[in-house]
Amino acid sequence: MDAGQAIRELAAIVGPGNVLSSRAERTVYGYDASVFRGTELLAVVLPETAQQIARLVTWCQRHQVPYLARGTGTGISGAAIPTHGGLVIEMARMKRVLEIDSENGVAVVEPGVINQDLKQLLLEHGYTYTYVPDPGSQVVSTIGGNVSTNAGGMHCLKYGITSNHILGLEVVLPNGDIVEVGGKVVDQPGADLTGLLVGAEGTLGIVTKIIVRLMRLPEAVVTQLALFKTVDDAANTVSDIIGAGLLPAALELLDKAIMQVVDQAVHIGYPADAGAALIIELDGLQEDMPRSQEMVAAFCRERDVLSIETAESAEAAARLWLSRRAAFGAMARLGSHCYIVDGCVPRTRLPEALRRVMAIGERYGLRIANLAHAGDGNLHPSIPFNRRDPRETALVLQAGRDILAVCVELGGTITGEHGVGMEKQNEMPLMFSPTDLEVMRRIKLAHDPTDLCNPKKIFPLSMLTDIPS
Amino acid sequence: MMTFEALRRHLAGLVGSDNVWADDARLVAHAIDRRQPRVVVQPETTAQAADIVALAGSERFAVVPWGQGTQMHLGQTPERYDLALSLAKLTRVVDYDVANLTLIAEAGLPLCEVYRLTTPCQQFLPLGYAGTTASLGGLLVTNTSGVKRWRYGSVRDLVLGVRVALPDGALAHFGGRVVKNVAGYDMNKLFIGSLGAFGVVLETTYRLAALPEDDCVLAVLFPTLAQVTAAAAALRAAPLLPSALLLLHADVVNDWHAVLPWTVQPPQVVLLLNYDGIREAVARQLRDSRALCQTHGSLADTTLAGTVLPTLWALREGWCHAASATALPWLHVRLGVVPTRLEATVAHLAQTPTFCQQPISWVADAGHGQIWARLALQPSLSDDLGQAVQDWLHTLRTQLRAHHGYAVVEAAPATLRQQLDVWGNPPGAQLLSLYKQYFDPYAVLNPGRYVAGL
Repeated sequence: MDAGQAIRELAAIVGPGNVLSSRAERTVYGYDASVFRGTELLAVVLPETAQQIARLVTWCQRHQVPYLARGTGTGISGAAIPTHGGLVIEMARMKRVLEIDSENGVAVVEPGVINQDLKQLLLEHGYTYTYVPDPGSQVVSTIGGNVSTNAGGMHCLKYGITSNHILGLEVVLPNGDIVEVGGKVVDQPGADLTGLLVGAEGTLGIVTKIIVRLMRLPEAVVTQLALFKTVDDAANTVSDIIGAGLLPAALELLDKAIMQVVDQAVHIGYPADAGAALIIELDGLQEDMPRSQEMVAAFCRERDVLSIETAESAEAAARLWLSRRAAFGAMARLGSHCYIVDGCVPRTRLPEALRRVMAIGERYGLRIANLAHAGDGNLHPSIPFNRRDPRETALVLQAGRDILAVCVELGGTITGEHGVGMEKQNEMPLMFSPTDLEVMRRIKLAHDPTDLCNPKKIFPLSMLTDIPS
Repeated sequence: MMTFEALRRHLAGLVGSDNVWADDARLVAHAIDRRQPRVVVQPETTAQAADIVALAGSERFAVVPWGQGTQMHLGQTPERYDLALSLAKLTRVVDYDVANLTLIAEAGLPLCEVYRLTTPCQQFLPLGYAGTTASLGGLLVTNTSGVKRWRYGSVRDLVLGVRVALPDGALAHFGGRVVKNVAGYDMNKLFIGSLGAFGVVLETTYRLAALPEDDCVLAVLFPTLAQVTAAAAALRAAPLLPSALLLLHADVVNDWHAVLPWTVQPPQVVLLLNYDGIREAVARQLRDSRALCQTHGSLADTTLAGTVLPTLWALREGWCHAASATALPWLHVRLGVVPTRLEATVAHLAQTPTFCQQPISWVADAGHGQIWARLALQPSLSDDLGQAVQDWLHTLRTQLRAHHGYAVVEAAPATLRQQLDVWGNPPGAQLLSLYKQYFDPYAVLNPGRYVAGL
């Protein structure tokens, strides 16, 4: 079939205004927030209903055209990069909040709803409930994207990752069937299919409806900023706090390199001798706060803390958070691009992991700045570089691979919250044996035996040679 | 397919003849709905267990895994049953990482042993309670969460990794030991609530929680269901953080006289509120809850703490997760509803079906909308009982589905269970059927016991 005929048939499914096929349009959808670029697309389509998606998927199946669903393209692992052309199914038109049922602690949304928009909607309508997952990109990223990557955020330590907040899904399978899994009611009979499909990176079907859990806003929140001489002191304090049975809502660590660049960007005014910062957020009941705060302070003092600042107002808390939230943006001061690594280690191994990250940076002659969701052991070494320099890009990617190998060696994982996509598919054998991967791939084969649904992602390319490109 | 005699010899070669049995007592002890296996085998290592699963797969013997055997009443009657695979000796703790609050242990380890290990370190695995004898693998494959799930999460929130054996010989490991891990599909979830239909779980990794400083239950007596459900709704909406929020039918209250001080009559209902954590916070929550309940018409309340709590949780576990030990024929049904439908659903249960010899009694989790109902069947099981129960279930399920709910038969007399659809038709059953083809194409794992006849 020629491209013109294909575009006409797609337009018949979604309407002519919902098909983008100019060269420029097709080109921009080959990008996301990763360092990768896609191949030439047939078209971009913007469906408005699950039924349209089912027809699109069936059309792709009939013509053996690869396809993938795309949210707002904030992923950094290349999961939404069209590596084999075909169709990009853009979910921007499916952004309705279908239901808010606060009495039962659930909301039903379409996948294109922006994280922050749902939170804002709940606030504006006076609800005392919220949708908890808060990836750093939440002002632009979608809840469908959260589901796809099983996204994390700052508050996973206490409240869990996306999977913990998703109760049910409607999914268009690669055969065109529309199925529901899970539901508003917990513990549906059978396996936890919702949990299995969350984090599948769009390779098992296209999510068209999401039942999310709403949680009550905490009565009290205390935000503190503790400055330490060294990263080791800050990271060890994190282990002390959690080891004592405290469970803060967030424990975010910044190393000196990040603090310096943030200071240049937003003028926090860190003292020169501060080598690490820890943002600590406690939440719960009013009665939980005084003693928890005192215990945290005591642990900080035991690690020779330089200072502890406690926010006295919501505005002050926002200012303390600023150094964390501004960090990735501030990295733009150091290079045209920033490669963010997403490894995870058992939290007590964080000091060693960060030392070895710095050693890797020195070995490759790269400047690495470190952010970490320290309570979770999730580190984000961030490496500024010039993507137009192929040698430097290759060096940065190799440093990233070395860091992930360290994470696995220390008992951790190659990705804590951003997914495998195309970035880490060849690192999967660091985590999994050939048997593990073969068994895991049976799920993909059960859903999509011809690998048209976001093809050739997640699994090592060496495993995928039996599927035609 | 080899003969059973050859199978026994082969199994003895794998695990030693001391761990292979075919005597009547052992076979009867491993019967399900009076259906006995031909042989019982008890491996001592996960590698042996994987070899047995592979043997069953290659020779097409139907294998039923057993953990500590506490929940074998779940599911349909097995269609075939050749081999009982006891995991009772797989009880090694592979790694207990105190500082990172994670535990890796073999699947047969009883939860009470985990408590014994972790309590001195001021940690616990918030499934069940310190006396729970169910195994770690059993809790996982039956998706059995603990009483404190409102605060600490359910099985799906606590499992970090699994090692599973498949009938084609694969021994695969998924997940890891860190809480944030999105490398590949979250395969752990396939095995949660799977009843062993896709693989035999041999090893589990769980995250632990810190033991709370204080742990109290406020028991509150209410005159009516409407008042207690209104109070429960108000408590859910309040900024309080209960670990458990249970409702007890009057007959249950009277049965639990060892811990509850009241003798009550329907329609009276008792609310149990569990609070734990920092002492000051627990005290404030008890105070606020008591006041809130009084505004909703509570008649009396009492605080339970200390050594009485394990007794209370044992009673709760016995009610919700064990088959009835009495000689009477009982039907146990678990219902799931959105919390706002709890009152209407329980009110429906108050209409005693004609096949019951006494009113339906129940325990409900008002936080999550779970109801564990017990129906005392007429003692002489008539021929048309099966149809009557199926009709009752059908009507119940139709009503529940209209509001996103479901009903599962969890225990029933063997003859009755064989006539019932115990699972209903849950969402996603077509996917489970599809996975079965890829994980157990010859249906040797628990054949016929799972959803959709898998």
